Amino acid sequence: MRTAVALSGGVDSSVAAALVQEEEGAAFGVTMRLFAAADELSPGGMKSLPVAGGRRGRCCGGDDTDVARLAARTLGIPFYVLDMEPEFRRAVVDPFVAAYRAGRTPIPCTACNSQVKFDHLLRRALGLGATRLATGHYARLGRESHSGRRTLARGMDREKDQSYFLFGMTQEMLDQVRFPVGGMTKEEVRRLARTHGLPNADKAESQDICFIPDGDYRGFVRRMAAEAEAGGEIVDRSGHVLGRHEGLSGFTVGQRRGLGLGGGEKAYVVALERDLRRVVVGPREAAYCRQLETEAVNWVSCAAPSHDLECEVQVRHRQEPVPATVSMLPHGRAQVRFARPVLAPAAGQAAVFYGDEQVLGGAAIENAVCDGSGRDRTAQEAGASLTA
Amino acid sequence: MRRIYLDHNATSPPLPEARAILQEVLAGGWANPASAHLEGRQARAFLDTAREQVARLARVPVKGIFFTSGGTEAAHAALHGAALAGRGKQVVFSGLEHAAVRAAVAALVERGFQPVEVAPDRSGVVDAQRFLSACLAGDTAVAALILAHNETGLVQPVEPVAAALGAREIPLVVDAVQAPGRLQPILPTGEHILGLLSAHKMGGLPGAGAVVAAADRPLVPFLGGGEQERRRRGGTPPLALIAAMGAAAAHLAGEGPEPREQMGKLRNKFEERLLHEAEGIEILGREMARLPNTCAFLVEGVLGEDVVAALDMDGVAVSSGSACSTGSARPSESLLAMGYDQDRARGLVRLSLGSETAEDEMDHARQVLVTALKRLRRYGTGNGGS
Repeated sequence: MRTAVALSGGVDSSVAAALVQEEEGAAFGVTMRLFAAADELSPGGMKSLPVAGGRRGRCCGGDDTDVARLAARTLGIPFYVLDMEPEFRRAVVDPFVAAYRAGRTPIPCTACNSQVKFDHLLRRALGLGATRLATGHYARLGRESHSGRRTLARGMDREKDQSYFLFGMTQEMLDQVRFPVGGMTKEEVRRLARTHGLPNADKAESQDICFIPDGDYRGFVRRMAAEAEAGGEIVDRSGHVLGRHEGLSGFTVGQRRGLGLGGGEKAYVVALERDLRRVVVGPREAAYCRQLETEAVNWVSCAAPSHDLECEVQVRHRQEPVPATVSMLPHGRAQVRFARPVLAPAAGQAAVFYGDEQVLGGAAIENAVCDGSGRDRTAQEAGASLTA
Repeated sequence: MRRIYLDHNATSPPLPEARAILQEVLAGGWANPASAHLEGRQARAFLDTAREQVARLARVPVKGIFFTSGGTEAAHAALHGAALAGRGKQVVFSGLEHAAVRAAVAALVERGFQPVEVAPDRSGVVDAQRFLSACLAGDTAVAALILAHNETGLVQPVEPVAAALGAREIPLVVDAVQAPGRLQPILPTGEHILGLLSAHKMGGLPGAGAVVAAADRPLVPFLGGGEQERRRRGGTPPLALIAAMGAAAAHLAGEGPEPREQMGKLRNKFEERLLHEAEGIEILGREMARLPNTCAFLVEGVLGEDVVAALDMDGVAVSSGSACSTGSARPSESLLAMGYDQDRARGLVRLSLGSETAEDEMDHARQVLVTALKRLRRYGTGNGGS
C-alpha cells in the first residue's frame, strides 16, 4: 500500500509527506509540471541559443520543483515529476483566458483541483500503484457514520482554510485523498517541518496564481489569447457613456481602480455585459447583491436537498460567510438569496455552501442579480437595505 | 529491494577495470600531466595509455584522439572546430541528432552559418541520398549524422554518407556515443570523419569524452587556454576520468562478439514475449538494424514517464527517452521528427541492456512491466486520454 503525495515545493505538502511517510512508511512524491517555460513554448529551438536562468513559472517548474525534490530526498521517499502541461492547459489555462474575455472572473484553483489535481493527477497516482493521494490542503475529511457519505470541512486553521477551493470534489475523489495537515495550524506545520529538517520550513506563502507568477493576469490573458480582444463602452447604470475600455478581461465586478474615468465620485464596476461588451459602473452600493444563480451544484457533504436549504454562503475565498437560503432550480442549478447584501459576487467565482464547518456543496456563479435588467431594482434594494 | 538496471544508454555502470584504474591515478597520477617533473611524467603516462586504448578501440592512430570533459563538449568541439576552420556556409544535420549536437549547431547559427535539417523517415532512419543531396546542394562547412540513435537504437547510414562526403572533403561529425560495447567497429574510419565518444556510456564515468579526428585536420579549438591535447583542447584534462575511459575502452576492444550477441538475444526474446503479453505496444525499428542492447517502444494509452516511475518503485530502472530531456515538457524531438504526434510520443519507453544483464532479470522486468501497464491503462491517464 503506497500513498502518493502531491509535492508543490511548499511547506504544507512537504509536511503532509512527512506525516504520511511516518505513518505508513510507503509514501512517494509527485510534482506536477504544469506550464512550459517560455523558451520551451517556441518550437524547434533552433532560432536562438538557450539562455540559462530564463523565465520559468515559479510554481510550475524550476525552483519549486527543486525544493520539492529536496524535500523528498530529506524524507527519503521516491520523487517523480509528472508532465501535465497539456492537461493543465486544456482544463485550466485555456478556460481561464476564455472566461476573462467573456467578462467572468474565473478561479483557476478550483478547476485545477477538480479537473487536474484530484482527477488527472489522482488517476496517475493510482496508476503508479498508489492507493491514495495526499496533498497539503487545509481542509478536513470525515465520514458520516449512518450514510457512509464522505464529508469535507474547513481546515482547523481558519486563516489557512482552503475548503472554498475544494467544492468540486466528488465522493469518489474524497474517498481516495488525504489532507494530513487539515487538522493542524500553520504554526504546527512549520514546527513539524523544522523537526523533519525540511528545506522549506520557513518558506514564504505563495499568493499568486501559480502560472502567473508576476501577478499580471491581464497581461497574461492578452498574451495567451489568439486574437486581440474587442473593446467597448464604460457606461453608468442609466446607460450614459462615460468612457471606453480595451476589453472585458481587464475588469472584475467590484473593482474600483483602473477604470480611467478621472475625478468625480468613486465609481465601482457593478456589472460586465458580455453581449454588449459594456462595463457598467456605479456607486459602491450598486455592487451589492442580494441574490444570485449558480451553475449546476456539486453536493459534497450532503446529498442534493429536496427543499430549501438554510445555510451560510461564501462567494469568495476570504470572506465571512453570509446566511442565505439555497433553492434548487432545474438541471441541478441553484438560486441563492442572501439574508443581507453581499459585495460584488462575480460570475465565474464560486458560491460555496457551508453548514457549520462543513462544505455542503458549491457551484460557479452564473449571474449575480446586480446586472442586466434587474440591475436598477437590485441596486435600489441593496441601497435600501444598506441604509436601513 | 532487488534492483534491475536497464538504462545503459543513459549511463553504463563503470567496468571493474575503470574502477581499479581510478585508485591507481589517485595514488600515483594525480599531478599535472603537462609538468616537467617525475610526478607530471607519471600522470602523463596515464593520459598516454588512455589515448592508446581509446585509439585502438576507434581503430585510428594515437594522435587521432583528443580528450574532452564529455560527449557534449566533444560535440561542440567537433562542430565548432570543423566549421570555423573551413570556408563553408551551411551546417547540415539530421533530425535525430542529440541535444548536444543541436545546441552546437545553434551556436554556429548565431555565428552566421545556415542550418539545414534533414528529417528521418517514419521508421526512424535518415535517408542517405537525401542527406547527401542536402550537403551537396549548398556550400557545406560541416555535417552531422548520428551513428546509432540513443532512444531508438536505430543505426543510421553513416558509412555511405561518410564515403561520399569524404570524397568531397566535407567533414562529417559522427555521434558514436552509443556505439562502444554495442557496435563493432564503433566508427567508420576516414580522414574527414570526426567521431564523438562519451566515457560514461561505455563503462567509464561521466566527465570525460573524446573527439576522434585525424591529426592533420585543421580544427579551431572550442576551449582555448593552453597547449594541451596538441592545442586542440585547452585546460588540464580530467585525468582520472580519462584513465577510466581508457580502461573501459581496452576492455571493450578485447571483447569478442559474444556480449553483443547475448544482449541481442535477450532483447529480442523480451520483445517477442512483451508483444504477446501486453496490448498496444509498438516496438520501434524491430526489423531494422539497431543497437543490440536497445528496446524502444510506444505504449498506447499510457505515458512513458509513468512507466518509468512505476517500474522504479518496483525495482526496475528504465527511461522514457533521452535522459537529457527528462523533466522537460517536450516529448522526444526525434520522435516528433519521425512524424509522431505529441500525444503518441509521450508514450515512449526505452530499455537498454548491459553486457551483464541476465535472462532472469529481463524476465522479471517484463513481468513488472506487464503488470504496471495493465494498472496504468486501467486508470486511463495516458497519451490521447482525457
